[in-house]
Amino acid sequence: MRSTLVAALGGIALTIASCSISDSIKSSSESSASSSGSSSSSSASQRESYTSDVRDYTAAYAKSGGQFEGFTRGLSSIASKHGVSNWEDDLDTYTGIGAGLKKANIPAAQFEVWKQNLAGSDASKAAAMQKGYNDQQPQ
Amino acid sequence: MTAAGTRRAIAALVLALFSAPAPAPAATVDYLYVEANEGGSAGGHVALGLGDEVFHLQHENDGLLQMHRDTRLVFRTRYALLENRPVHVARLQLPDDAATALRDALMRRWLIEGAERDRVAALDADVALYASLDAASGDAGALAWPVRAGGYFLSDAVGAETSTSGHSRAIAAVRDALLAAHGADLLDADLAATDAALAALPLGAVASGTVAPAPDSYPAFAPTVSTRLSELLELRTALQVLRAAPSLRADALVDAAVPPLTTTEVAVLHAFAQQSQTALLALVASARADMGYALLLGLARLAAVEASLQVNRLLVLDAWPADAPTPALPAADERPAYFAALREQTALFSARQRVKCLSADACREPDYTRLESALNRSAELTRAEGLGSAPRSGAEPLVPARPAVRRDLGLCRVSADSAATALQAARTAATDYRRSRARHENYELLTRNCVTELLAQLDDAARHDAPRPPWEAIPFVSATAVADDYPVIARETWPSFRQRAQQPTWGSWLTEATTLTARGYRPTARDSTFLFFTDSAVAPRPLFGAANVAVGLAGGTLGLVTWPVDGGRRLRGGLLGVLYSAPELVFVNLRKGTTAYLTTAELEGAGDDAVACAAR
Repeated sequence: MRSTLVAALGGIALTIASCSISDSIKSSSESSASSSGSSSSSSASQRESYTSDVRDYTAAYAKSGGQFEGFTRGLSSIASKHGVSNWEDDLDTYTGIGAGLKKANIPAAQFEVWKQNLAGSDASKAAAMQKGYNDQQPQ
Repeated sequence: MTAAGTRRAIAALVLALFSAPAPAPAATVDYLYVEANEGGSAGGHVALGLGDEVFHLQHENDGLLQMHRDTRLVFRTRYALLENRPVHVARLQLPDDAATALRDALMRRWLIEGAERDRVAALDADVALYASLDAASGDAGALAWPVRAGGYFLSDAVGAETSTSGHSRAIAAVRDALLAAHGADLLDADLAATDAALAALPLGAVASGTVAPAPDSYPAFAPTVSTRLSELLELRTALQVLRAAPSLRADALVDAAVPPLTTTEVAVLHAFAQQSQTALLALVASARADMGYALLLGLARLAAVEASLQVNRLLVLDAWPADAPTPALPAADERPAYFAALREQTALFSARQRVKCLSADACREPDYTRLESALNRSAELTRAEGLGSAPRSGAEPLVPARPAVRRDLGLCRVSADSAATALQAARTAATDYRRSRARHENYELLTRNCVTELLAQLDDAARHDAPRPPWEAIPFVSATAVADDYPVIARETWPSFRQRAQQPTWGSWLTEATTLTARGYRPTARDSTFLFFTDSAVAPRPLFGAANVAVGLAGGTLGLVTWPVDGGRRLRGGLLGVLYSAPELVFVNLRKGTTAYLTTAELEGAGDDAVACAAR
C-alpha cells in the first residue's frame, strides 16, 4: 500500500516539473562555483580539458564528412567555451585536432591532407598535429 | 643486515617475482541520484559522473531534452548546496571499453546538440535578415546589422566607414608591421575584396534543403546568408579599425579597482601585448571564414592592455552581454551577508586569476580571458551592490562581444517579391528544422526524460539488453534499479546544505526543524511558504505537513490581499506551499528549501569534496 502511494506520489512529483532547473538557481553563487573551479584548477588541467574537447569535436566532425569551412566554424565555438578566440595561435588546438582525427580512424594519407590544410607551412603546428595523431588510440 | 632480515628480504623478492600482478582497476561510472525538492526537477534528477565531468539532461524552455556537462564542483554546488538536495552516488563497475564508449556517446550528444542550437540561431538570424529586407521592400541600403566586438570602437548606427576617434599606438604598430611586411596597399586591397564579397552575397538565397538533424551524426551544413553577412561585416570592421587605429570608446573598459600593477606584472603585460601583436599579424592572413571577430576582439584587448599600462592598473573590456540575466536577490535580511559573501569570492577569484595570468610565466589567451571574466564579475558586483540590485550572471568565462550596429552594408538590392519569397523560405526552414529536432529530442514525461535517456546511454555502452519497465523512468526508482543491474563498488551521499549545517544533537534538530529558527536555511525568493522542514522528520511528518498546509493556506489567503502590492508573490508562495505540503500528509517529503548564497568556505569546501570524490 505504502509503496503504491509512494509510486503514485512520485509520479505526481514527476509531472510537476521534471528534469528542468529553476532559473533562480542559476545564481551568482553558481557563477562563483564556476569561477572557483576555474581559478583553482591548474593551467595544465585547463589545457588538457581544451585539447580533449577539440579532440572529441574533431572526431565527431570528421566522421560526419563535413566541409572544411564548417569545421573551423564549429571549432571556434568549442574554443570560445575555453576562452580562446584565436585558436590558430594555440598549439593545443592542433594537438587536439590530430588526436581527434586518429580517434575518428582517419587513415594516414587523409590525415596528411588535413595537416596541410590546417597547419600549412607552419612546422610547429604540423608537429603538434602529428604528435596528437601519434599519441591517440584509435577507436 | 641481520640473517633474519636477509631472509625476509629474499622472501619478499621471491613473492614479488612470482605473485600474479594486481588486476588493473576496472572502469567506473558514478550514477548520481538527486533527491526531490520544489522547483525544477521536483521529482528528483539523475546524472552520470565520469572523472570530473558530470553529464545530465535538462528539460529546456523550448520543450527539448538537452545534454548538459558540468564539473563535479558546479554540479554539487548547484544541486546539493544551492538546491539543498542530497545527492546519492553509486559507483558502478563497468568493462573497460564500456566506460570509454559511454563517455564518447555522452560527449557526442553534447557536441551534436550544441551544433544544432547554433544552427537554430543561424536560421533565426536569416529570418530576422529577410524580415528587415522584406519590410524595406528589397532595399538592402536600408538594412542595419550588429557587428560583434565592434562596440568597443564604434557607436551604433555608424555608416560604412568608421567614425572613430583617438589613437591607439599599439594597434598602429600592428598596422605598420603588417603594411611593412605585405605592402602599403594590403588593407585597402583586403577591404575592397570584402566589399566585393558583400556586394556578391546572394541575398535572395535561403538555406535550401535544410539538413534534418540525425541523432548520432554531427550536423554538417553550409553557412546561412546571415552567417556570411556577419562574418564579412566583422572582417570589414576589423580591417577598418586596423587601418584607422582608433582608441577604445570611453565606456569600453571596466575598472575593478584592484591594486596597481607590480613591476613583474607590467613586464608580463608588455610581453602579452607583444605576443598578441604577433598573433594578430598572423590572424590577418588566416583563411578562417570567421576570422573577423577574433581580429576585432584581439585589437580591442590589445588596446585594453595598452590602457592598463598607461594608468598602471588593470582595465579590461566590458564582457557583459546586453541580455545577461539578473537572478532574484534573497530576502532583505539576507542581503548584507549575500553581498559580503560574493564580495569575498570575487576578490579571491580575481586575485587567483591575476596570479595565473600575470606571474613570471607568459600569459596565454585563455588565462587572460579568465582574468578578464573575473574582473568583470568583480566590477559588476560593486555596481549592483551600490544600486541595491542583483548582479548580472553569465556562464564562465564571460567573453567580450559588445556589438555595434552598422548601416550601409554594401549589399545589392533585390526585388520586393524576392525579399518576400526569401522571408517565407527562411521561416519555413527555421520551422522545419525545429520540428526535426523535436522529433528526436522532445521531452516526454515517461518515455524520454532525463532518466530514460541516461539509462539508455548507460545500458547501450555496457551492453545491458534487458528492457526497462516504465516505472524506472522515476529518478529514485532508477537509482535502485541501476544498483541491482550493475556491480556497485562504492556508495556515498553528498549531504545537502542543511544536512551539513545540522549537528547530531536534539538541540540542533529542534533548531533546524522550522523555517523561523533554522540557521542552515537561507531562502531564495522563490521558496514556497511553509513552517516545518520534514526531510529529516519521519514520524511527525504528517503532523508537520498538516501545519505546513495550514500555513500555506494562510499565506495564500493573505496573498490575495497583498497581490496588488507584491505582484502575486505571496499568493504564489502560499499555493505552492499547499502543493508541496500535501505529500507530507502521507509521509512523502519533497520540499527541502533552497539556499540563496554560499560563503567562500562553503563553496570551496564543496570543491575539496568534489575533487576527492572524483579522485576516488
